[in-house]
Amino acid sequence: MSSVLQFVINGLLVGALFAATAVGFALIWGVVDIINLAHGEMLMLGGYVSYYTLVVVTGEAVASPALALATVPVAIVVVFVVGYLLQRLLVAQVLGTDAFLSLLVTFGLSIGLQQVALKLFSADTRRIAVEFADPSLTVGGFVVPKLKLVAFAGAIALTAALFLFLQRTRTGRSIRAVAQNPEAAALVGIDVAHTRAVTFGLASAIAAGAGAFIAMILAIQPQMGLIYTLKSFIIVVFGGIGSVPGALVGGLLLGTVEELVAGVVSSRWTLAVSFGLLIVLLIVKPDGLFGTGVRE
Amino acid sequence: MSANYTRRELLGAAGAAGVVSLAGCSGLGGGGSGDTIVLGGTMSLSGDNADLGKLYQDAYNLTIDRINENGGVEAGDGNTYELELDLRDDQTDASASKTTYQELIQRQDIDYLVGPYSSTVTLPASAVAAQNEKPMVEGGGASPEIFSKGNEWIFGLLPTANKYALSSIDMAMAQSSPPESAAILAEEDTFSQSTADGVRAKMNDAGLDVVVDESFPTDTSDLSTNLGKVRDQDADILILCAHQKHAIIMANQMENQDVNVDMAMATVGSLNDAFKDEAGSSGNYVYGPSSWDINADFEDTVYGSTSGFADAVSGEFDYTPDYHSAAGETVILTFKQAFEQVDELTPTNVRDAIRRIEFTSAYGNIAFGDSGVIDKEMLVYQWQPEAGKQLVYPENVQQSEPTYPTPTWSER
Amino acid sequence: MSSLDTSLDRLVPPTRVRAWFEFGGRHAWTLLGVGLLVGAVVPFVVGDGFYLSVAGEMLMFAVLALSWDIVGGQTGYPSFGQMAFFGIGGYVTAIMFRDFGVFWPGLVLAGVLSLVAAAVIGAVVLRLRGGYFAIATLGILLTLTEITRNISITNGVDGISFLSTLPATTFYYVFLGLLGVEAGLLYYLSQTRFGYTLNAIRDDEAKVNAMGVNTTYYKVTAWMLAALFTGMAGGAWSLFNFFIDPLTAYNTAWNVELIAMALLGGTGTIVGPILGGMGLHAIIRLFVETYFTGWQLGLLGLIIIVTIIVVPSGVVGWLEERASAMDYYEHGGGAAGEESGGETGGEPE
Repeated sequence: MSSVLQFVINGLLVGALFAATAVGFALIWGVVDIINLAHGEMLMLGGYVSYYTLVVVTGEAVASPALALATVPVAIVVVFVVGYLLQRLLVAQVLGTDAFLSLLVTFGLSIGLQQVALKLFSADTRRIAVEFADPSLTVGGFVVPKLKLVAFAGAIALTAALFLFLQRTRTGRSIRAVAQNPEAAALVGIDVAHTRAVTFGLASAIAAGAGAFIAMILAIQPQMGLIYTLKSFIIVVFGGIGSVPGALVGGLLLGTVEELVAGVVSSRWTLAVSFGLLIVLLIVKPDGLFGTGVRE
Repeated sequence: MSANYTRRELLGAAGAAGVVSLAGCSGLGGGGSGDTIVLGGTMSLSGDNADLGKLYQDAYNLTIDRINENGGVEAGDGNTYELELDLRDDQTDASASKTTYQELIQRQDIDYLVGPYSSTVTLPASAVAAQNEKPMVEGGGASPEIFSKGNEWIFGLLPTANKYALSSIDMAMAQSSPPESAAILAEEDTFSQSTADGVRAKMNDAGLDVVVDESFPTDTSDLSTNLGKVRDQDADILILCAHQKHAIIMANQMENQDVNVDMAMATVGSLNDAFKDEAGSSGNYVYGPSSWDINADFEDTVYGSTSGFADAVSGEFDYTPDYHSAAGETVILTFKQAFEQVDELTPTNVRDAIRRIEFTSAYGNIAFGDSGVIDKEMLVYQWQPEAGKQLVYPENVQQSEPTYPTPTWSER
Repeated sequence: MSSLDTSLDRLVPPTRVRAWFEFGGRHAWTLLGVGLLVGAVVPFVVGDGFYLSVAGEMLMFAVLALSWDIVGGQTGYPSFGQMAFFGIGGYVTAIMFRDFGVFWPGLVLAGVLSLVAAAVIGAVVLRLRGGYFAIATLGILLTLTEITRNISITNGVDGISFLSTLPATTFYYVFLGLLGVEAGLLYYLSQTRFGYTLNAIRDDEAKVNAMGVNTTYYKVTAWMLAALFTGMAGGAWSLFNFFIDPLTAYNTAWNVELIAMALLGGTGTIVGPILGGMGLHAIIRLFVETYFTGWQLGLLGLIIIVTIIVVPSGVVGWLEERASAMDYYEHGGGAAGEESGGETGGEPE
């Protein structure tokens, strides 16, 4: 029993990062009406920006926790710009066409970015080594790596920040207006194209933040993105399109399910269970748990 | 329109193809044109394991440049040839492997093939080599499947995967407090699963209690739950059958998960600089197998000796070579040696020469067994905090004693 | 824009394009026969080896793109899991050849099992639309990959490999035959109620439903038809390639590639996916992989993006638009999506 709880803890810790990745995916889908298959690549880019910021500034990829955390905003800002431009220059071209055309364009983008990353950063696995005096915490017999706890808090903070931004700020309200009805939003004077690009940028930026944390607790590689895109799919289908709370709950739950499968059954079945879950969710509950429902 | 257009296009393409294949026939017999012999093949330059694929690419190019600078290959037919390499990116994807090798053989007229890194990509490639009767020498694909089909045209420099981790188990069993229980974590790919098969059999023979035996998908980047099992089951030794990415993650997460074993070893990618750079201090005490010892000085016709090769690589690229690099170098040298021994350069003659070949290179003593593999026992290395990477087993060649058991994280 | 239109008018006058389509429509069966004849001669010209492999794969991708288009282009259900049936077929023949040394019964079984799998999967996923359908089909592809990795009859991650199978020409003719039969069948169907109904489902499924038509029947039948040809193509491919493993069998990248092929040629037509499949594969194999090694992924991405942005209706679709350029202006740009099956002659080469 206690080991089952340990699996749940492991799952929640990593699930928060899935959630932070998936909120952006949900947002783009909800607001821009694009299923962004290059979302995982934004996460990958965030990881590399964070890594290279550290290497350029300090000369090595080893950092104190504070220094490592300081690279996260850099990743967020840089990838925000990348996301904004991608939406404006490329993705906007296929808006309003068949859903699968946008899927293909973003897939093309995804493999293109992987290739560029491979040429720029090489295929070597990279990570940011964060030095803690005592790296893990033992609470009541459960092992909790401190760094993962930091990443967990960071991911939750990113997600919460996005939620508050959408609820409280003027731009956030424009974004929600565009999600509900672009024509009406345009009528009341909202620059729809700009708002969509900001949405794309924000979503990419949150993923980039998650990527920076992943560079610290796990590792980064040019081709790492796809699996995070797929996980985001599952989470968003579960939580509902455009729903931030849905993505948060979905992410935590997916992490937990995966680690429980890995722990109780075998890690060789984690992906099969996740993908199977995706299909079942689509069939049984296509509206999502918190979502706006299937529009078509 | 489409009808006319396509028909014409197809006839045109077919005509062109015919001309090319006729040209190919008339040019038969010479390995490449003029005074150049072209070696051709594919490598994992993108996709999974591209980090290791680069080591081969570098070694190939450096060695060929050196050979050409030194005047080329003086072949047994009395001519001197320069070497050239046509190396393609196979993206670690087996679906294009067959046609790419057919293309190298037919369109590029290449008679001598270098093999891919990935075992999966090597399987169809080696079938093409056999059907076209072109010798293929490879320093990568080590799955036993490749060599168990009676293919007479494939030669591999690395021991087969099932042998990778055996010496390390021998080493552990030879310690004063030998392990009683063991854990296996294996990536889900052909190579790693073969490695795990070998490990499992060996552990049974040694009477070890396998308390954790898990496989995980290549995409997995979080091993904490599996490592948690290793900790909770109190395994004495841990063998990770996987590649570089997972080796780095294992080292890092063992610290975070407070996993203490007497020996932690990763089968691939735990001995090069990239591993130690990324794993940092958590990479200390990790073991890894190698078919090659950088300090065992063998004579080498191109670099003078093993140390000459090591210096050349670290001078040209900023890393220390590991066995992947040395095997890559010797792929080229095997062909060079074979070219020098044949009276007439034909694929069959060269294949027969490779089969009989006996020479030394930076990689060691080269002689291929009946199945086409160099049957070596793996050496075991350990990263030690003070001395760095040390050869620790077998004892008669060891640089220093293994630090066994590995100190616990709290003791470090 | 207008000067571009004028020069295009001079280069490809709508009347001439229309004449081509009319010619193709009148002589479709003859053209199909001629195409098959030309295809049958190819092995005698190119011999065995690389060029035969490429020619065979070109035909195979034409079959795959055409099959995808039955559901993706004609019916409006873009599947990202078409390769599921390719994998099933591929494994069936590989296992039959490994265990019993036979090919033809394996090929038949590959078709049968693909049909069965399609009936089951189709009944479930064809209830979804748009992005949801795309994701569900992708999920099926990935789930099958994982299952295949973890069961023993498929030999897990090791896959099944052979040193030699049957002569490559055998598989070439299987691909040619599949393409001929499929193109002929689709051309025939395009002039029947079945073909019209599929297109109507694509254009407005709710309306078709409201007319009392059982759309599920049509969708699942189309899906099964696509699976049959895809499964048999996969069945021939695994032995043609000497090797099959979970990643090559359920190749996600190929799934996207074949969608790109159908798009490039022109979805919703018969000639389009065939031309797209053969053309794009020839470009990749004869050109990109040889001269741009290390950049394959990036170039494929670029090709996909440029195609979608520049010629979203594909080459054949674009020509169709030219053919009806006059009507097009009159209808205020709404005619682009109109498809009349008889217009596009079915010929494979």
